[in-house]
Amino acid sequence: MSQTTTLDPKNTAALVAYRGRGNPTAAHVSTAISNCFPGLEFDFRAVWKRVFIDVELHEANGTVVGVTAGTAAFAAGVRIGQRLTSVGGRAVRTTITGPSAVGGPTGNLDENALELSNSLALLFDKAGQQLSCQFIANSGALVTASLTVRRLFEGSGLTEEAAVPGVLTQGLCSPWQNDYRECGCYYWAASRPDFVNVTETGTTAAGHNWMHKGRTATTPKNYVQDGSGEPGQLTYEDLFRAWETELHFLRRGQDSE
Amino acid sequence: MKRNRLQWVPRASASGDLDIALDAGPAPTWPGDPVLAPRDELIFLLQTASEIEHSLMAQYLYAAWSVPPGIPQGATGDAEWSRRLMRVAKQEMGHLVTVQNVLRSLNAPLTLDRQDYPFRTDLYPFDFKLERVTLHSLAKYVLAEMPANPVFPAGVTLQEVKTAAGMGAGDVLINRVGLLFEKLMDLVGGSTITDADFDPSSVPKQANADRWRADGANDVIVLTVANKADALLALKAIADQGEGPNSPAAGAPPSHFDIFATLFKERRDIAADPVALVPENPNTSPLPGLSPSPAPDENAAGRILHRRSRLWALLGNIHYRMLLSCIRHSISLENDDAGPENTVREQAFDEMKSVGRLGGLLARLPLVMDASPARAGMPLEMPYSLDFPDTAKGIWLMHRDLLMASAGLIRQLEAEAGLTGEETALLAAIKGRDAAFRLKVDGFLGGAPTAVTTIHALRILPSLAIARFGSSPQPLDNYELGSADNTGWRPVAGAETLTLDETTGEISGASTPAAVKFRDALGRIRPVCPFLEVWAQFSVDGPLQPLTAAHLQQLGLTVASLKWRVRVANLKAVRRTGAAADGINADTGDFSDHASRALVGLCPNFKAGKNIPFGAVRFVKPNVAFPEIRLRFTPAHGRVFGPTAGDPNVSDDVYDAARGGWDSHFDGRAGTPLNTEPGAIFFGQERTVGGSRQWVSRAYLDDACDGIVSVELTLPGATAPLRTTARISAGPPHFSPDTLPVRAVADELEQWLQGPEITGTLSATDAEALGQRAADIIRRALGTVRLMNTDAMNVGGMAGHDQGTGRAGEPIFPVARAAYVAVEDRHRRVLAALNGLSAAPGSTQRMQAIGALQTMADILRQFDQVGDLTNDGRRRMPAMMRGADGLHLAVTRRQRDTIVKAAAALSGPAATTPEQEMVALINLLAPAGADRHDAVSAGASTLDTLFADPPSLLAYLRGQPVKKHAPLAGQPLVIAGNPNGSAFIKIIETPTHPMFIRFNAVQPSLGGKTGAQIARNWVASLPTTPVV
Repeated sequence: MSQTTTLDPKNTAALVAYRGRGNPTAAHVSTAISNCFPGLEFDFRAVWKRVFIDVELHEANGTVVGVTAGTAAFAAGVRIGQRLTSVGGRAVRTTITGPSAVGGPTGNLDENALELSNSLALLFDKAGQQLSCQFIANSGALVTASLTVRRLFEGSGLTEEAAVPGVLTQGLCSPWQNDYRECGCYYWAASRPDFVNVTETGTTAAGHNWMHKGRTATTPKNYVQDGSGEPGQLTYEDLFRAWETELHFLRRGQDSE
Repeated sequence: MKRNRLQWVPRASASGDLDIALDAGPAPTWPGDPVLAPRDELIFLLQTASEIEHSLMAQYLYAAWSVPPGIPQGATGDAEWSRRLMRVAKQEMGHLVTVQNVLRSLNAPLTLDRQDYPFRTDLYPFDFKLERVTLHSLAKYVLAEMPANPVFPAGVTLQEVKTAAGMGAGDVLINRVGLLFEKLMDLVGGSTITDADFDPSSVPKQANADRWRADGANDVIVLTVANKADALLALKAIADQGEGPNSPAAGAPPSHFDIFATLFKERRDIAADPVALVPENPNTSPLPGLSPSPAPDENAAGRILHRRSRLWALLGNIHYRMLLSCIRHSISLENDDAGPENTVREQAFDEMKSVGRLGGLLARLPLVMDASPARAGMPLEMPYSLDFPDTAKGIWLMHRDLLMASAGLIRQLEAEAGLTGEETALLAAIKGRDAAFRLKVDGFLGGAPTAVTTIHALRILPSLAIARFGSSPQPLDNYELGSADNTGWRPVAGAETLTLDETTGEISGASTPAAVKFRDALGRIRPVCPFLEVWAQFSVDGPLQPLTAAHLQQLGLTVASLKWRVRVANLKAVRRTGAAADGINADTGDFSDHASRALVGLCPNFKAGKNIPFGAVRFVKPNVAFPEIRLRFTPAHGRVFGPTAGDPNVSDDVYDAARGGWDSHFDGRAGTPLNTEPGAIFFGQERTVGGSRQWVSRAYLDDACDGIVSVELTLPGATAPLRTTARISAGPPHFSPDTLPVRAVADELEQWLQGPEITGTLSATDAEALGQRAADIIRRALGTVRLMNTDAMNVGGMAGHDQGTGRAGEPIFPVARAAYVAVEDRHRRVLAALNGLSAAPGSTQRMQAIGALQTMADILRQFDQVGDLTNDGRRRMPAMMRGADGLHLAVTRRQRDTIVKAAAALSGPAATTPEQEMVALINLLAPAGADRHDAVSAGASTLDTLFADPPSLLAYLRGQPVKKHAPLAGQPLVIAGNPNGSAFIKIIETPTHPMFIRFNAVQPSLGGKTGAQIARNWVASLPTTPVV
């Protein structure tokens, strides 16, 4: 990448796309997982924790985990433990529906917070504005407060007030190697592949589990789902002690080393 | 001395309309005309056309500026007169540039000349006159742009327009421009002009649509010309849009004639005059007596005598000249992406902005010093010469001269008392653009860069940089991902890599590796060590540029004037225990030197003398070859830490269990923060605590971190520093580097910075770009899914996770549908179809690419559908993946809207006939169904092949019997006019047939009809008797 000579400071798309001279693609945010549950490079959900001034939310479920005493929010009755239900009249939680028996009727199963990054996306240009927010207490009581949207971004980056150092990774697994096993997170394929060295014969595919220990090109391709105690798979200890040699880079889905 | 010109001789045509001697018929002779060879005559006529386009553009711009916003009363957007006039002016700009392309292809001289006042010739449709919008001026424009067989708006007649144009008086000559283009097309289309007259190698030097932002928003035409056919196409396109001999086809955008005729009617029907009182031909000519002036003083009425208005008018003239110079310079250069052509072309667009705003302002500023309501108006005076220097240096010096003149006028205006907010803002904007251009001009001149005088703002870019672990001392080389091929894999290619000399702290060189190696010779992973660059804005509204040591020197500063600080932390234990003393923090404090600074992670609950190394940062020492200001972050190795000495899992025993509670933490423990989701994601062991089994932490930690890089610079005389920050993080390597995640942090940033929806009118170029972005999202999905074992995920993964909500446990898809080979094949076929986005407009390949986007738009999960765990809900895309809320994954709202809007913007006019709807349905279904269609024989071919050619598929349906569906075998698939009797309809309406689901799904992009409804309508519409 040769040196770019000018960038329009208002063109935020170009600023986000800029990788920096000499920086490999892997340094760019386009390579970082954002459907973090909890994630590998970031728990980017933490960005929205402080979207409202004076109220701090749980990164995943919108529960109030902090409210500043003496503020309007506090005076309005916002308290720790309440859950955010709507912002500006728009719901931020959803009902989970589906059958409780195979082939059975669809019914309400549960309820859950929507991802804050999507449910609050319309706040992108509302920094400094006040919005009516509704919370529900465990008792079922509803609390409405007018909250001010915090300025989370400036230019293409996060403001200092958005998060102190450490917050963007605090929700990740400790240590991160522990998250490479048994998480069911095989969908982070770009960073943590699952089904590799795949060959297709007719309608059948065969391949290795990326966790398959000591595999070579001639190792039979008998995929076994990642699971605790599965023989032949990397153990937690392998990952703690020797992840750097045990985990392999891929090219075109095949072991490249 | 002007060159000789052919004379246009007005004469009455049979229709009573005015005509010109260039009209078809016997070759006219004009006494005194030079004898011109065909190619020479073509050049002459093209140059004349160019001058006319330029003249019309100037006059239409002036007319547009004369109309305030919101006219006619209450109008907004495209209904405003000013918008409509501006649209025509922009199209004339496209015509002007395209005519230059034809000239370029002929190896002929380019020209940006135009008719000027005082008048020089009677070659033009009417005498050049800048004037406000009046019935008279609009009538002239109507007649000039009129096609041979005009259709006027109801209530408007040709005679009325002629009368308004002053035709009755016989002193204004109106010649249809279309006749000139007829002559041009006759000449190019005839046998005397051949392909040999055109130079295909000139195309890289021609303006093209992408670079000239010729977009659908204003239907601007910019076409390149490599041969005779291209030239004809270009001339016809111009003619059709504006001055053409024929009215455009129904449904096409309105022609200039249509626009002016409608404006004429609206202007006629408005009682009050809403147009600014700008003069005819405003000018900055000196007062008689101050210099010799022709008598009578024909400039008197338009002379701008108000002091400040005059300064603005002079500034307007300078920037009009800069605009012309940049256009002229650009079309003399070969196209490039970062060189001189790019610079002057981009500057031309900046100058268009400046000229546009200056024109608007001058229509509101006074003409004279007294309280007259007369407004000044933009003079658009031609420069003293359009001759172009014949050396590159001479051209750059000309740009610099103009910038100096602009700077002088700006200084005079800044000294004026009582500038309005609009004036101040406009001055700042022009000043910023000028300053940025000056830097580049000076760069091309090769001298010392223009000294910067201040810094308005600093930025660190990239603003969020990711480092990745590895124990090798050699950082990973730079690499790029190329475009994915049909298989979806992206080639990994080495890219410019900067080598940091660890001894000097300087960049010692740049090279491109032939192959990218993720490990060193000893097998250690090479860490990703990002550079963070400091960029500066040297003026308000100016661009960001890399800050260099030279800039600092010019400001009387040194690189040591920059004050860096890096603070990173690992708060994983704090997040669980809630104890601040479990936080691991590293802080470099302020530094300005170039030594490597270790990021030493300290924690109150660590054992004495223990820490976790988070890596290091280094302020790279600028040198002559790499003068930019940058810092490098080198991450840690990716090691594990714990509380117990001798534990073979950990590289160091740092945690003091006697001080902190991380070793006894379990989620839900009293006094700790609300659990993470998912919970208990730390290394631990099951233990009985207080009578219940708990997952108890073993107090493991890692050397991951994230934090803030800040840099400060205090300018001389300033009381407070300029300050900016960026974020860094360190995480695991990207183990499948040729794959990108379907939903990335870049998508989150884009959504929060630009909103969840794609807004505004999409030009054709925008729509194409959006289509490619949409395709890229789908490519990422393929990249992801092919590294998942879909067979296993279908029964485990999200299918198992769903049971936690009380949902019945069952696979998400029928087992065969989720088989890896089938899923991979389906995605790959969609991807292959998307390559058709680059195919010719209207082609089946392109329509099926758009169909693939539409299909994807229809089946993408919306952000608030994540809780729909019905089978239909779970099968939405992306399927079998988990989102950040623990429910089924939805892409960001902006990602989804990118696909939805791209499909809509590219799909063109809606189908209107039953057959068109049927073709649209085929195009929609083809990509997604291709994996099943290729196994179905249809006549001599397969259904897949027929889907690639919709007319053939329709013919097949009309002419063939049922073959495979046993209950109806042998029956005709379609009986014209009889849907209920047609086997095809019966089959697609049979719930157990594989086609039922697709044909009975509502198609939002096809008016909300189902495929079955569309098919029924089509069969019903077919004639029941043979068409003779």
